[in-house]
Amino acid sequence: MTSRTTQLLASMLGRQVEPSSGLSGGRQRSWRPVLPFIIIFVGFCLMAVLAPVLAPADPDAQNLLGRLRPPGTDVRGETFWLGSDELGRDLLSRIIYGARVSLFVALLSVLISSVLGTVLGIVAALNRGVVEMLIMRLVDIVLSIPAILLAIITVAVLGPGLQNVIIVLAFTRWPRYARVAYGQTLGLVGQPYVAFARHLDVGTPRLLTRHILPNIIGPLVVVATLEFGLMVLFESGLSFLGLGVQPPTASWGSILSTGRNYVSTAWWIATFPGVCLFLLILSVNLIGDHLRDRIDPRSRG
Amino acid sequence: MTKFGKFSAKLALAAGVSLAVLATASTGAMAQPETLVIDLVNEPSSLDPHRQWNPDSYYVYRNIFDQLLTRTDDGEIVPNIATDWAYADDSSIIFTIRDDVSFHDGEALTADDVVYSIQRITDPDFASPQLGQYNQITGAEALSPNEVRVTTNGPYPALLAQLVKLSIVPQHYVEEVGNDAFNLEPVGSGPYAFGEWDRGVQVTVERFDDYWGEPGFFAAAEFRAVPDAATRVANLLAGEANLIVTIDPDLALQLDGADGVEPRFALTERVGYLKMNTQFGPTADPRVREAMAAAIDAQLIIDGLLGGFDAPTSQMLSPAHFGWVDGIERDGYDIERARALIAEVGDEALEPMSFATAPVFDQRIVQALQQMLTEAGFNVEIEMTDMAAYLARAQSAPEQQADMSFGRWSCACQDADGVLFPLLHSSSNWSTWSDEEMNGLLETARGTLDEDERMAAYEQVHNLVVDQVPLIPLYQAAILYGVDSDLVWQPTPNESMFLNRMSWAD
Amino acid sequence: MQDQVLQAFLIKRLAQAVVALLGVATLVFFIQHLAGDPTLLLVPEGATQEDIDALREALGFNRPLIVQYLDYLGGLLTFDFGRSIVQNVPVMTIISARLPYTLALAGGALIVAIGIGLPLGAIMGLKRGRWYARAAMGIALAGQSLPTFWSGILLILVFGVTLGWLPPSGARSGLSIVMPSIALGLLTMATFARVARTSVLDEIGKDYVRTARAKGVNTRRLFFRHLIRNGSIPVITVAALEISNLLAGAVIVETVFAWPGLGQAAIQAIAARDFLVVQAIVLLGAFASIGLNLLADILYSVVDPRIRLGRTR
Repeated sequence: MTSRTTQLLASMLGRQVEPSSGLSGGRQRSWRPVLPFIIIFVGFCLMAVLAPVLAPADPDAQNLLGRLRPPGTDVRGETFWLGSDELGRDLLSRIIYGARVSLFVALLSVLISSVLGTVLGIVAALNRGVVEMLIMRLVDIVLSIPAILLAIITVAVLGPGLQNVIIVLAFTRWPRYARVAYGQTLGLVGQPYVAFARHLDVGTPRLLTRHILPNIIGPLVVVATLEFGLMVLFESGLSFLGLGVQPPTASWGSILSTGRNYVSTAWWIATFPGVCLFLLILSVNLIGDHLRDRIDPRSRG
Repeated sequence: MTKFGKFSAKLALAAGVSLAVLATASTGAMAQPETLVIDLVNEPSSLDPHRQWNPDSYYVYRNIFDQLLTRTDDGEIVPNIATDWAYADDSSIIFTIRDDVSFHDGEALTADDVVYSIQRITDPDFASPQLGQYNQITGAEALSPNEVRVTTNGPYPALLAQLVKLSIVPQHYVEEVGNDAFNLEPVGSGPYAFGEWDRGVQVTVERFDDYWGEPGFFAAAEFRAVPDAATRVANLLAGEANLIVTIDPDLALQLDGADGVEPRFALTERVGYLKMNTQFGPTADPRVREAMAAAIDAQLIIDGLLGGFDAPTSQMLSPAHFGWVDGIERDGYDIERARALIAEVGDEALEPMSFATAPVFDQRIVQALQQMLTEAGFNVEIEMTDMAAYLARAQSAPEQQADMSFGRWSCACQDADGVLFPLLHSSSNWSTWSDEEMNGLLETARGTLDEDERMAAYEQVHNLVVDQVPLIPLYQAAILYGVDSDLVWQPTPNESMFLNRMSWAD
Repeated sequence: MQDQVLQAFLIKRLAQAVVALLGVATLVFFIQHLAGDPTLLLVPEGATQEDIDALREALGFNRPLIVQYLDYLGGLLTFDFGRSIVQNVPVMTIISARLPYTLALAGGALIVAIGIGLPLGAIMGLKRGRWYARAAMGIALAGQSLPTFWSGILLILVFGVTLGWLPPSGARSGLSIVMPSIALGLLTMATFARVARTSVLDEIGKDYVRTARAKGVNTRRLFFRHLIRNGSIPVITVAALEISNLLAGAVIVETVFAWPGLGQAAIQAIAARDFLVVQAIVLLGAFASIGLNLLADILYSVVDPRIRLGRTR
């Protein structure tokens, strides 16, 4: 949505968003303002990778006689630093392991949808005519369906679960990238040097790797970053509707959606994963916003 | 558009006199309101009592319509529209119909309306989803203006229990306006008349002053749709709702600590159970099923997780059912025995097993069960799907079914036949159990009106369940409501919600 | 000349829109039917296979899928959206009752998003580089980073229960719309902040501002007059584009706040496999999205004739 908005705005003011010269091009804006958020993001990633090392307890081990204990409680020699959840599980361990699921779902769905969308977008731009029409109409169709509704309808078919949630999110989101890749590639194809390369018949792989991909990757990375935060939100939304990962697997979304029933009796269950989710999405959004400013020449300066 | 007009008017009003609204809202809590506000999960699907079958619908329409028979709060079947009944023979029964009942439009309720209602709900072309509860009925005829004979295709012991749910609709009105208009503006003979259906928001009913029986205490009631349980609790705490349905024990505890509201519960006729695939996978081995039964500590689930509201049971029934036998007891929790049995079976018992569930069930229970089975050594994976997929899988061919599934069964009839026959008879699409002895017992109990003979058969059924473990009955489920403490009302096992049995305390 | 171009453009876009809507109807129809039909959800526990089969037949779900599809398309051609098998009323009855609430919520959310987003964006543009400009961006993005099912219940507990200022949920009084609008509006506030910043930066870069600044003249009034004139079109356009996002976001907000809009109806209909209701809501959403996009494009071309309509996708 946002990249299209930017493009439209730019075009409205008479300036197309030029195909960028890549991530390194142009005058740089300092990374310093977003550095804390990069650190937060990297921290969460480390937490996910190192979960087995960091987690003090088995995230799925229940203790029905030690439910809903506040942070710092000791139960049978075990300390619940962030308290225990509705089944007496260690909330800290669940949040650490939950980072894995939340990040994994977002990362993989962004990867799959961006690759799929980019390929289809470029294919459409290079094969104008029937192929272009088929792909871009499909893009129109999927994009016009409210995304979360499409995701819910599709989960109803596939069933919930880690793998299915990723598939569903990828299936719902690829058109974003397709539209950007298509637009950017079309712009490039009009450029003399690309036309020349095509005329020389340099071969598609070379055309792609040398001339097209390097020039369109920037905007795509911006879209992917902003989408990443959205995917984390989508996963949590699906969890809220009972359509997320399978229990007892913890994701921040699933912990938060059960925890919200305990806001006034056991505040810790919702608060900690909620803050984690918020910080993660905010970090990614700020980083994405920063990237956009670096890449979009209009807001630079 | 009129609705939106109404809404914009509300909006304008709010903008103009928001302070006044705030003021009245805070003083409003003091006086006991004339209108009772009830928060349901969803809005009713239908107010035509012969259409949809779900609590959100029948909570509402059972107040607009009178049922042929009813149950007291203690569960006893007592006269309602029918004042008396007598079996003419094993397969026909004659009801005497009350002669002082009038519908909300002033017309009298007669035997013809009763006959019409039975014929309507059993008409295959009408395609009532409830047909399955009444399809043993082969005919209904009026013998006189206040006598109706109902015939069944053989002895049908659960007939009276089913007729507790049969709402009487006015023949003259339905035929005049048609099914569609009737659904939108139902006319019944109950203690409350249909007022307005603000679609998606609420259904309002108003007290019917010419009601023949116990009159309603409240001038009106609003049934609102509030899908999120946490929001329903917030509404109750804020005094916006007087009664909320479907909360879990942990939300109930939240109410315990608040002023002026409280949780109230009844042990229902629903039984929580674990059903195993007895034909395929590790659970085809009776020792595996026995080990599972030994691995599950139902008492711990009830005390630790369910707030102690629910009651453990070893049979698939509650004491509210006909067919409940005192003293049926399966071996208790014994993890060592479970482990020994698993060792005896060997590797096959350790194969991954699927555990089907749906979001409507309490996921904490499902996860606790999984954990208990895991502790014994089983390898169990929860597979949650939405309700439609869960039901489809539960009824698929046995080889496609999950190895085990969690369920909470209610036939809404308080008769063993409605529970045990579908779950355990080999002909049933809900069962994977296939046992000649079991089939014989279930058929005997279904085919006679002799209560002693039925009880004897059911006792044997319960013992077979304990011995062969086709399924594991876990607990008799409680239903929890949140109520304004001043509301006089006792929830019942059959999950009814009769407004004329409620009032404010003095 | 311009008229002809516009006409050709409109015809092409309308044709594309019809194709896309047909595609949406088809895609959603087949995805939904893959998930199985609603018969089992309608019958009581313990219904026999014969009962289930009979009901399935009565509802028409035993017919070949392609027949059901053609039947559905045939209905669509005459603007017949069918009947809800769960509620036994025409789908249009459900839609028309709930649409006003959804529109009202979208409007309320836009007011919140614009009301907070524009000032934040203005700060971001005017005070670029300062720490509070960055803080403003942070605030705008923070709104986009909260799961609404969490922020929603927090709002309800604070303002509905503890303080008692607002009705916790529902649509009984006009005040009921306030909290859902806030929860939903926060989600899109960042978009408006960004638009506002771009407009401000644009205006600052203009010659008259530079000249005035060089001369030390106070141009504040002139500046803001220009800003409002030049900046309102992008805001309106982005608002049009955002409406379809708001419709999607409303799904969860409406569930939490028991707001009787289409989003809540959609969730219920999907769970109940009430196919035709889902179809209608999705089609309506797609129609809104496509229509508003088209409108935005036309709006651009009217504002700035340099944009050639034919090139817009």
